[in-house]
Amino acid sequence: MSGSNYTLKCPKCQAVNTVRGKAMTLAMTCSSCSVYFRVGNWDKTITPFHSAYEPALPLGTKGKIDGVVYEVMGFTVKKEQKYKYQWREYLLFNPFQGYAFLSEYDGHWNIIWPIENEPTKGTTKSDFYEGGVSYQLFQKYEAKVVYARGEFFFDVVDLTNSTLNREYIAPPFMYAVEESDDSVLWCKGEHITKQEVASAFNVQAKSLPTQKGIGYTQPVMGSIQSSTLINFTIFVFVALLISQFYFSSNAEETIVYQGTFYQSALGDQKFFVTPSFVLEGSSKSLTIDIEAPLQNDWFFGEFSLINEDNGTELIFTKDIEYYEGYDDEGRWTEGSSHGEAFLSKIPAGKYHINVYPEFSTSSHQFSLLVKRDVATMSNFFLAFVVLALFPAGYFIRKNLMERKRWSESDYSPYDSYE
Amino acid sequence: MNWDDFKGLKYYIAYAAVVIGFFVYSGATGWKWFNPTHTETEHNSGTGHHVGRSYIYHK
Repeated sequence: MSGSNYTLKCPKCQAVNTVRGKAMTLAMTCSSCSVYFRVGNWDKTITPFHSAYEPALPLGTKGKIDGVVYEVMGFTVKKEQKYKYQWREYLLFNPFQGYAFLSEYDGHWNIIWPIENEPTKGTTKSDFYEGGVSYQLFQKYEAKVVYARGEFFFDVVDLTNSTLNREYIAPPFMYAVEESDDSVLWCKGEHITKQEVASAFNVQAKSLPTQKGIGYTQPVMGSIQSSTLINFTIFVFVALLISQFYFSSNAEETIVYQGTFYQSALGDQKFFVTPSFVLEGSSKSLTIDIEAPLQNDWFFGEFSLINEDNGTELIFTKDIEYYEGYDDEGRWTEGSSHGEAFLSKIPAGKYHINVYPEFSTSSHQFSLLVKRDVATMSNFFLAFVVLALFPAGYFIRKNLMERKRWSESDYSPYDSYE
Repeated sequence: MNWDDFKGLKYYIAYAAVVIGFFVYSGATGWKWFNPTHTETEHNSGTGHHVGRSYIYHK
């Protein structure tokens, strides 16, 4: 709308001001003396705005938001009357879409549009549902304009001074309602990042106010929806469970060797050799169950699984201890006479096992049970934990951020828990 | 919930796909991720019962 020769004369200094909003502009500030006046009605009690507030988005700047090109028409700084904090609002205009607001507080931005229909009433005064989403009352306040510059399509000073404002949030969305004795204006807003504002209006992001804390509509982590994350996590866990069920139910657990060894059979030998056995198919697990009849005793063995096809030797040890006795509290036991060695990814081939045992004074025998393709549950539990890390981190972060967000509100749902 | 909601989860979806894929591969090959049985591997040129470390130990 710039470039028009529509003008208004300042009622105070008589300077001629070009009006970009033409007949839609109902109030403005004089570019010469900064006095604020309604068109055809100058309230002389309103002192000129000489404060040194500089808009981060200069008046007349154009920017594209959600595909709509807006022009910055007016800039106001408002002050909340109870807690005295200030925020900034930019009045945006598009000749086809009408006007919108871009508000900024502590470097956090919201794009806000007036809406015609009032949202559905909620079950209480502090909330309502819209589109299946619960909006919670975040703040209720009265404000004053401490600075204005540019053009406005309403008397922003009088309107701000005479209305009670309520804001409801469901980050990244919000609803705001301005109520006066004779009017109600509902607006819907959405969080917009500093980078998006900078990109839309083609300004440097570093020239925009620095972000502090968490914005009251700032989403927790990008565009992640909690319900979507929960549903997807359930899907992932079900997939994991089905996979584990498949592996457990299809594990063959084929016994490829079973035998008992006696110390007396060692003779001059220092080790036992099992007969050869053949492992078929692709790489699978192999377990070696060792059983020794121990009574307050131990058994130790070094084992070599030898691939007779290529000479590769897989060496491992197993220590078994079992003790029992009685004390003041009754019978006690410690350890087990059974041990298991688990070998991962054993390829097909012809194998045997060499066992180098160490017997104690009373332990003289042990048994081996070698099984092919044995399922393990530990991977399932580890995968469960690994997959739960992200959603757990998300909800911990969300809880912390929500508490921090609501600490700025008089209507925090967390207060009742503390 | 619509497909756009999943855009925010793209990194978790990729992460979950990798973990599930790794889990399935491990299950299919009998690979236990954290195995308390510690093993050492030796490669020998010979075959038979007395090879490698076993042979050295024995002789």
